[in-house]
Amino acid sequence: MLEIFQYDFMQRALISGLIVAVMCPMLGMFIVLRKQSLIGDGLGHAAFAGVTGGYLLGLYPIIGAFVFTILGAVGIELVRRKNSAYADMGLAIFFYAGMALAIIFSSIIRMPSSSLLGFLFGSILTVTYLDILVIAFCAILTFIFIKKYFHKLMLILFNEDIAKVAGINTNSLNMALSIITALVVSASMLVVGVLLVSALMIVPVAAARQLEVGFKTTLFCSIVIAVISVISGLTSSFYFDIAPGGCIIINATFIYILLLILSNVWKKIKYNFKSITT
Amino acid sequence: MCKVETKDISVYYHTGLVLDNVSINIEKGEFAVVFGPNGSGKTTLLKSIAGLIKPQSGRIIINGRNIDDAKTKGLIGYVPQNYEHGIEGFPATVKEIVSLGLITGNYDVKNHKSANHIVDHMLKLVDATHLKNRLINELSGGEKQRVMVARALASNPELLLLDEPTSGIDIKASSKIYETLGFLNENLKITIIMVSHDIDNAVNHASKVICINRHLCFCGNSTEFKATHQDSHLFFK
Repeated sequence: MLEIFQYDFMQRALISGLIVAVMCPMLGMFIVLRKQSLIGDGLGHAAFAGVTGGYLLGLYPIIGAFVFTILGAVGIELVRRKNSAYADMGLAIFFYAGMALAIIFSSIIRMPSSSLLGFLFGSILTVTYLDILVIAFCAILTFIFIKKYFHKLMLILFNEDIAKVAGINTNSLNMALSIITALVVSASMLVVGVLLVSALMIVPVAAARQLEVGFKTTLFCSIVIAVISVISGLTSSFYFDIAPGGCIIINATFIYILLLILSNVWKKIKYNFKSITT
Repeated sequence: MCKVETKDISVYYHTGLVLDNVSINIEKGEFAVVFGPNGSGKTTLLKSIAGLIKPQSGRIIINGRNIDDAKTKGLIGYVPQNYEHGIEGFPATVKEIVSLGLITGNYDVKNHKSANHIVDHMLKLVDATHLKNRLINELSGGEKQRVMVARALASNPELLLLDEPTSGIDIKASSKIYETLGFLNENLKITIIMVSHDIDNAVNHASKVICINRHLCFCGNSTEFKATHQDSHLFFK
């Protein structure tokens, strides 16, 4: 297996994949529990609009992506704050509006749809060292933010009213979390694609939750699952000559299904054992 | 110990007036229970004291200070109503939940050793030491409530606010909650304000009774309330 990582492009793919595998579940844990699992997709589509809008205005596309995703994140957070029960509705509105704007802008500038697909799926095998620096910067920013506000964010997730009574500025922290998510999505989409970033934010966390352990252990396990998915995904894509992003996501999904089945079997065994002993 | 005063507070929602010029005075170390029919403004009163709702008029003073000062200093411990839907699927152990009580606007959990010690002590106070490593989702209603009280106590509050802590739990579990609250009030001198529907049990443990129905109907000691208990429905007219 190690021989595949003798290739320079595979080394870069592995490094960038591992950075994304550690960074995404760190944010994903808070996103999933905030019931905003599709935020990566919503922001990704806002970023499409930003990229095409950037082309239209003659700007560097990444600047357009940053502006649109941050505006999208602020909008989604404001809708969630107004009515948290309809947080998913805000996501859907920004998802569709972003996609519609991207289609309008791309039709004006006559951008081929293959370029848009490139942003959707990305290509982890073509990352450069500059790309690695960009996502490493995002990962460091994410790590510092989560480390500094870990317990406060956890309390907000647990119960926002309790956090407010404790004197925590919940609005600022929620907004900061949304903006960091926007930065991560827009920076990473140009490197590894929206699909991979969004999936690695959600699927490993969903898989780790099947283990039914504490908060910190769930977070740790979700990072481990993401790392396993990236390594196994890259390896299988190399040997079977198939898309690496797709392999990584399918492997993570397979781990989720496996843990879901094992967790249900374990619960049944525990229940039967209890009913025998009582 | 904490003294709470509300001076002529009025709260309006888009549906209309919820609290009309309510003035109450809860002395340091008192155990006050708030009664009233559904929609009478009990939760609104408690949320106003917690600083979650800003009254359109009137003032709330806690220990002579503004409510925002009291919040950042961790003076208030709060156990909300209907927290269950937030807990559902929340992957956390009892130990993790109780340690969240240590966090205030100005303080985060830094010293894990002392945090562990405080968590152990709080769980012991509510007789829930055996639940420490269990997942919060696995607990019964009464056990969850005791854990929520332990979490609220972790920041060493001087005022404990509880919104219907005995709703939806059986008589045995609710007696245990009252026992715990009585112990905290008597031994740690924590001022307690509790919203409840359970008039008989609550009055036996409380020192002060407040009845509201959008406006203040009764505010006095529990002995006085017990004397007129049979006609308690009259308070809500």
